Formats: sequence, C-alpha cells, structure tokens
Amino acid sequence: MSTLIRPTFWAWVLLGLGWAGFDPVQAQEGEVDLLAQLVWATDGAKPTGKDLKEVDAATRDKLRGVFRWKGYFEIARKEFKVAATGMARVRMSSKCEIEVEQLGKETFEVKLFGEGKMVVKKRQTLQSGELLVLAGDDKNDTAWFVVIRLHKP
Amino acid sequence: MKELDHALKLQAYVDGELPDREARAMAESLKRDERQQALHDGLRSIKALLRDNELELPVPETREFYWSQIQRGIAAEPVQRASGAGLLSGWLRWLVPVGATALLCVYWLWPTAGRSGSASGLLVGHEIETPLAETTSFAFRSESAAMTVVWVETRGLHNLASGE
Repeated sequence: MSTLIRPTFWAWVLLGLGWAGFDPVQAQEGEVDLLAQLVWATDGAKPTGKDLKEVDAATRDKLRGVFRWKGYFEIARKEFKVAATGMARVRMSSKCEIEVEQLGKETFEVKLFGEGKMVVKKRQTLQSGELLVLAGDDKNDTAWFVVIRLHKP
Repeated sequence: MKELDHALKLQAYVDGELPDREARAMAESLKRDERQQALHDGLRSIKALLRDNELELPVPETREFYWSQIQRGIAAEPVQRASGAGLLSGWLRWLVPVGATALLCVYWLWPTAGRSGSASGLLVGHEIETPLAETTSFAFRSESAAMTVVWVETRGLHNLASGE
C-alpha cells in the first residue's frame, strides 16, 4: 500500500497540522489587564490653563532614565482588558488611538493611530514591570509618549 | 573528430546498421579510398574473429529452468526490500511526527523564543512596521529601565498628546 493512502499517515499529518495551529500558551491564558498612558514631555514649566498632572513617580523616573526631558505630564490614562487572541482599541486623545492585540502569552501587537492613520505597528513581549513606549517629537522641543504595560487593577 | 565520425560510420556499415542510401554511399567511398578500404577490411576481420571464436558458456539447466530462476529472483526482491524498509519506515512513521511535535513544543513553550525584545541597545528590524511614507521609526531597548522604545519620526503629525 502506498504511503499516501495509508490512513495512519494522514492521521499523523492532521495531528501535525493541528499542533502547528495550536498554541497551548494562548489557550491557557485568558484576558490581560493593560494600562496605557499618554504622556507629554517638556523642559519648560507646566503650561498654565491646562489641568495637567505629573505622571506617577515610578514612570517619571523610568522615562527620565532614558529621555532627556525634565517634566512628564499625564494627558490620559486608560485601563483596559484584552481577551486571549482578542484586541482592544483605545482612544488616548482626539488624534491618538492605540490598538492592542494579544497574540500569545505575553506577546502583543500594538498599533498606534494618528488622526485615524496607522503610524506604527510593533510586536512586543510584555512581562510584568516591562514598558513599551511609543514616542515621537512634538512642537517646541517637546515630545509625546504612549506608555503601555501590564496592569493589575 | 571528422575522422572518428567517419570511422564510427564505417563500423556501422560493417555491422549492417547504416540505412541503404548511406550504405551505398559508403561502398562507393570505399572503392575510391584505400585507407578506408584497409580499415574496413580490418574491422570485418575482427568481427569475423569474434563471431567464430567466441566462447560458448552453456547453462547447465534448461532454458526454462534458468529463466524461471531469474523470474523468481525478481519476484522475491521487492519482498526482501519491503521487509527491510518496513522496519525502517515503521520507525520513521513514529519518528517524523514525534520529532515535528517536539520541535513545535519547544517553539511554542520556550518563554521568549523569537518574541522577546531582550537585546540591549538599538533593535534592528525588530518587527516594526511604519506604513506611512512620511513616517520612519526605530526601536531601542533599555535593560535598566525594562523599557522598549519605538521612536516615531513624523512629518506633519504633531500634537498627538494634546490633540490640539
């Protein structure tokens, strides 16, 4: 009997294909809680007339450890959940949105949208305590940051 | 080269393998060329010597028995090969899927295999996509801050933070 017409051969092929498409880590894990912060950085004084608050000390210290700006102000703070193999779209400002998709255990695909257009897409493993920062220059030597991390409410 | 071709053609003529038309042309050519004639005679002599003096090796068995032995040998060969290969293919039937499954398990269960941005410094080609033509980006990693940064350079896309 030819190998191709043996039932056991096709059983193994199907089993192999099933394994290829099966992610046990993904199947075991449920939804995750995430926190996204939209941060504006400046060397100048806190702008008057705007109700800005400084980012939490831990985030500020981490950002200061990497970037040159002195002041970091939180524009928006969004807590959200992403289901296993699911995605969530979160509006951070009138011009800025993010979309986070969970691809597997601790692995995410993050898309940043500016004025409705996808600006950047990044795949990233996020473990507890890890930050993913999407950032860019803003006007007058300032900068914006979208800081994403795992979050325990 | 031409001489060799001609000699091979002459050999074919001696063996009676040339088409009629070429055979006639060769016969005419031989009448005119003594060297060709000498070669022709030599080849014919060798052919005659081989034909007349070839050793006959008679098969001790009858013709039918001799060929039936060969036939049985041919028929038995695939069975032997199949029994040898059967053992090997039996192992392969197990080893190939088990090996493939093991590889898949290692890939999926390895905590950071191919997924982690654990390298320090600039992350080159690190699964970043910037579809807009006016946008460029690069990524870097700070181990001390446990932070991966994607820095986006945009033209005409400011105030994402303020929304102004």
